[in-house]
Amino acid sequence: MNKTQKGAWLNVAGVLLVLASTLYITIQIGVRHKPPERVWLCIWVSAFVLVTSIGIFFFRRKQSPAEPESDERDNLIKYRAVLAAFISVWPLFLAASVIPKFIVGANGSIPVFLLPIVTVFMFYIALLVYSVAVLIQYARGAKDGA
Amino acid sequence: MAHDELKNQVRRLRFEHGEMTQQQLADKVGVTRQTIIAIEAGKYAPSLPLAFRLARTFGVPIEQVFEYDNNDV
Repeated sequence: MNKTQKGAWLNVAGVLLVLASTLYITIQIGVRHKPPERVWLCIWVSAFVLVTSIGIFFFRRKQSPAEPESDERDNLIKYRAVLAAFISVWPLFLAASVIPKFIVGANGSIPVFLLPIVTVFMFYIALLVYSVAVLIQYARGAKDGA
Repeated sequence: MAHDELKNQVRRLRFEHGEMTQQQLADKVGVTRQTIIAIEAGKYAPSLPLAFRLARTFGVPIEQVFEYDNNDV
């Protein structure tokens, strides 16, 4: 596994953790009207620390001492993944703009704290699309998918 | 519609050069092992500079490493 693949796996793990915790906090505050439970917050913080530590350890390990940070194929894969992420932002943006109308109605209102959460969600989903696009391209690019 | 295919002899040349591993070749030409795997499998067409570096590593002309197969031209 080269550095680009490791970075993508690290992104996937990190983004899934962020999305899960954001969803939990949103439901706790927005729906249940309770503060987030301390036990869950501790579990998530521990998971973040664990993923980051393991990720950095594996990220720093090279396949060989001469391994480049990235090569021409890595750059091509990253370029296509950026395109996929950029394209994915538009349906997400459309959904974020239209869905609230169907949930709360045209004259309804939503809590202000949801607006930054929606924006952050879109950013993280775009990052997830980018990382998955990188991994798919590597998986398809070689017979052993190494 | 034209069907382009770039065949290569990288795997054979590696074995003829002291059973060079993919990692050793990758280190010599400055790419990752995954790129060598993709080139050998015919899934990735390298840039001209990389193709020349591969040929130079094996000490052969580029035509002996890559063969362009297209009947239209």
